[in-house]
Amino acid sequence: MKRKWNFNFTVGLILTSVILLLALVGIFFTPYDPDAMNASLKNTGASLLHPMGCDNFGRDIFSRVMIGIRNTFLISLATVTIGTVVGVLLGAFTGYFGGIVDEIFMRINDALFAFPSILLALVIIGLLGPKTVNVMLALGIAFIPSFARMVRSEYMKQKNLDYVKSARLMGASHFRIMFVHILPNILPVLLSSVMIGFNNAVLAEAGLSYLGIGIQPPDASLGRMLSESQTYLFSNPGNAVFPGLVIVILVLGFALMAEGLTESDH
Amino acid sequence: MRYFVKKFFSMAATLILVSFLVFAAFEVIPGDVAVSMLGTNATESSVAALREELGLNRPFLTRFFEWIGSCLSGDFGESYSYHMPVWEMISEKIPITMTMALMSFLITVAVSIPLGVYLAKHAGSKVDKGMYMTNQVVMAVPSFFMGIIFTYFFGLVLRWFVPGGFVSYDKSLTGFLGYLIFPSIAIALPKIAMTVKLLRSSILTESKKDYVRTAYSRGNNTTEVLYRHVLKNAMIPVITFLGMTFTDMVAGSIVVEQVFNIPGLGRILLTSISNRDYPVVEIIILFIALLIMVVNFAVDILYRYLDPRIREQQSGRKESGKEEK
Amino acid sequence: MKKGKGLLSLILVMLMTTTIALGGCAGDKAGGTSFNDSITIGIPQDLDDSLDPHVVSAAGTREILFNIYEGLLKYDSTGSLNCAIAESYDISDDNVTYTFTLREGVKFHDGSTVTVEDVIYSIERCAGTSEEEPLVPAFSNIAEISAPDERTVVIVLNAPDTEFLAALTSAVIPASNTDVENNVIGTGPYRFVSRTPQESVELVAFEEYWGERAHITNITLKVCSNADAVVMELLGGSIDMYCRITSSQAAELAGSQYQVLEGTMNLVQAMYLNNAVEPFDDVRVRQALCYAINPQEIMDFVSDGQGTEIGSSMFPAFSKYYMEELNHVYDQDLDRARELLAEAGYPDGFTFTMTVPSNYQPHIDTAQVLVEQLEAIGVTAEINLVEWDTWLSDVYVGRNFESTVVGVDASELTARALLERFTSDFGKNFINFNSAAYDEAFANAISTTDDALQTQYYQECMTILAEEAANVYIQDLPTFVAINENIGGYEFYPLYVQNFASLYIIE
Repeated sequence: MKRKWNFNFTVGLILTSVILLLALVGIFFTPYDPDAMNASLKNTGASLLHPMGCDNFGRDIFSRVMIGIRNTFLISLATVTIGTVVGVLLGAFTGYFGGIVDEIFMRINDALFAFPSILLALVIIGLLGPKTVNVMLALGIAFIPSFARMVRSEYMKQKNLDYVKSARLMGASHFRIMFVHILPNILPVLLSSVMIGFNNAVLAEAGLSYLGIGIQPPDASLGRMLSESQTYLFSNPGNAVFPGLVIVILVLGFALMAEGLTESDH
Repeated sequence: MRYFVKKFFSMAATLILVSFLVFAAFEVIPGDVAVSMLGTNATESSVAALREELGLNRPFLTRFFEWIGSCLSGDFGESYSYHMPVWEMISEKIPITMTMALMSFLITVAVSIPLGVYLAKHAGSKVDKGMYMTNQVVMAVPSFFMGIIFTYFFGLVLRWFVPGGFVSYDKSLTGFLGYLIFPSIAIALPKIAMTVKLLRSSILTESKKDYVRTAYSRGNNTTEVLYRHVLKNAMIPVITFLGMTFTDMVAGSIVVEQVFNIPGLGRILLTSISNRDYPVVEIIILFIALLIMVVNFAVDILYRYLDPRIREQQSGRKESGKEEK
Repeated sequence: MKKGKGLLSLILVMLMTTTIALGGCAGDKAGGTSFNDSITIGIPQDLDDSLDPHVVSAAGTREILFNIYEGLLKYDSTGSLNCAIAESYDISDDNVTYTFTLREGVKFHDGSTVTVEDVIYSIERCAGTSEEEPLVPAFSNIAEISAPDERTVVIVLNAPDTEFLAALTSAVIPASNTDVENNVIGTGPYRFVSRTPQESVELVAFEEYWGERAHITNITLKVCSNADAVVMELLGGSIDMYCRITSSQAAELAGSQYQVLEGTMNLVQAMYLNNAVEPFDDVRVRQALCYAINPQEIMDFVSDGQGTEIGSSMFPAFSKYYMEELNHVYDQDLDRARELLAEAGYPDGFTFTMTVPSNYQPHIDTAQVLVEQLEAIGVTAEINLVEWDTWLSDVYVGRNFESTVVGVDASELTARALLERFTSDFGKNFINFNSAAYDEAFANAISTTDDALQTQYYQECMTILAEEAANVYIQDLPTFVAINENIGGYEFYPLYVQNFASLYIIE
């Protein structure tokens, strides 16, 4: 990164920042109340007062997009955090120690992997009720296996390298080796997969919302807005285009940043 | 040989674990099949009576082991909603979803490999840079949104296909395949983008290796080196990735089937979950799980064949597959 | 009561509000119909609850089975009861003995002839055993049922029941059919051919139907489970007709090859309140909510202003009982609402949950508007979308909820079908409504044989529901049918059914 100007990373950062700035502003201020309905504005197109138009309840789409980004972002962030933390712990232990524990964990991991995440989400949401927190939890758990798998294989590679061996000779504890010696070394790989994971979380949230088991109305999320818009595609395309565009930009931004990180790694 | 035996047992163990998880899931989620069957006729007493009749009041483990037992003897049970054998119901749907997955897989392979090779050969060109951005954008579109755009554009504006006009394969094979083209492309597009990107970078990495330089120094021309040496090695991570992609396509069809109104496995799975029709859900998930494992296994074998050096580290290369999910 | 012959206008004569479909059918019999036509009709969900006409529970399945099964009597599109399998009937002067003469040569779809044994078997099947609630509640009143000869069935009741005839619309099935779920055999104008789960159901016109043969020979019912995609499928032309589109979907079809017919759904849409939980156990809180909402505004948002306001558990199609004045018991009055809340001890409002089934968009939309309207009096409502199955088990059976937004329909055209639900010990009283005055008025209504008096008692029930604010009543939802311009003969019914037999292709 230091050596030369990193095109991908910079563009990604700009795209992401713009979108996140919208969300950040949205926490304190939206042009209109995102849930306020107005019958006279039903399905009206873009105008100066409503830059993205209004939806089928006459709600301001721009305000809802701002809130939607925030909700989608928070859900994805929580998902990736759960996935990464648990995934790193599981992957580190199983990859580092190997043996029976590894075998058992990997079987469970495989089972989870073969368990469609939609079903997993449905089970968890069904159990705990359809609250935003539970959507995060459901997606987070669904994301653990892929992280655990990736971290495990990194640990398996690293544990045989010289620096680990010498650390062990010097009497470092397993815990110290795992998290002080090895972890920083897999950080670049981890970081880029966190960003890709984040994108997958955004897309998964959209998919869940499309199937009707994501965030609850009248609350907005990008995925929910997108699926609600399908009926009005002809009379009010803005209803679909703007949330869709925001998802694409957000995901693109993170993908480019991840790309930039891996490039600088070489 | 030991490898196969070990693999077989670990697959069996995983399957049992999966079915146990599903069974347990239905035990804890709200709603139950008796209520679902009775609908608005349900009262507390009628639900209790029906539960008794269906044998749902027996202990959880008893039911689980009984179910495993009957599955092993080839009886997959009966759907509560449709009162027909589960297998009869599913076996009609498997070809639909599998055809769609296979078509999108073939499209992915057919498009991404030539494209990846081309871009690697012309790395840094305008085409390369243009494709790079296109790839990134395509990866960022949710599959159902891609489906909606397709139905709108190809279905309603260009009229290349009739939205919702799915024809079953036993009525008209060409109509069936024809309808599946657009859903398949919708599934394939993001995968193509990922594969192209992976193959391109894999070829470039490979080309920088010593043996390639040696080959050049012996006077071989670029094209020959590319096809004979580089591609073979560069394909290794790509194959792993494609293996995971295929299973991903099967699981990912759930959403796309919904957009295009295709009555495949995904549709049955979703409605069976909401009807709490767990015999059906069990078998579908087991089928998908088995499929995923078999494909992974096949990839593993192929992998060992292509690159005998790799034993333990092979899983390390799988990181390239983490991009999907 | 009078004797009935052939056509008897029983409960109501004219309803159909403002909406009449193309007249079709009755007179002109669609002259040059070729009898080889096939059409595809989209249905919102598969018929996956049951094909057993006595067990079926989903309204969406029941409306289709109307074409396959028939009872001794059958409703027509005006809501009158006509003879179907019965050719005529006679009611004794003490109103307890009903004598039916079967129509000669009525065939089941398997070719066998309907016998008195089949009729008795079907009725006894619905009367059920002593410990369970009968499938048709009115049949619990049957003292004796017999067949003096091969064409006569005599039913003797324990006590007079003026609405008993309506119960006889329940399906007659062959006594020999041991697997009713999988062998779909009725006597209706359409015969069940086959089904593919989650894909389609095939029907074909029944050649040996006792009445007028259906005009369109083959009907494919195509499952369109994704409501958001219905407009695209219609515009794409893969379905010829879709029976339940929303007003916004209807608006998208303007200028296409579809005509959109409008009727009413004939159901009672309300925010149903669990009267047994805090704070809804306080009548003042319930009334406050009623004062806070504005049904007209809800209709403006949800269905472009279409729909009919209601004030109690009765929809306008039931003109005999419907009381327009109940709509004005609570005209929107936010100050009055706040006052009532303060009196009840909630000066700053409260928070509650609305459990809404996720499978029907107009209910979800209504709930969203309600949230906005209630906010004005400081009451915070949170929407909890659940799957239909979870709704059934948690709300309907488990009664573990605070409030819910749904529509309740009537399985037969009797006031009893709508009002019995709120008697305090009834098994389906999911809102836990408990009023001694109501129970008494209802008991009086079903025991009297005087028609005018019965109407009066039922109206008393409705008034109690309104005054006690048992639920926050909203509207009878409008329904829209999208139908290809070349198909005629569609008729709206005053209850939740679809009649395909009257459809024909316009040449």
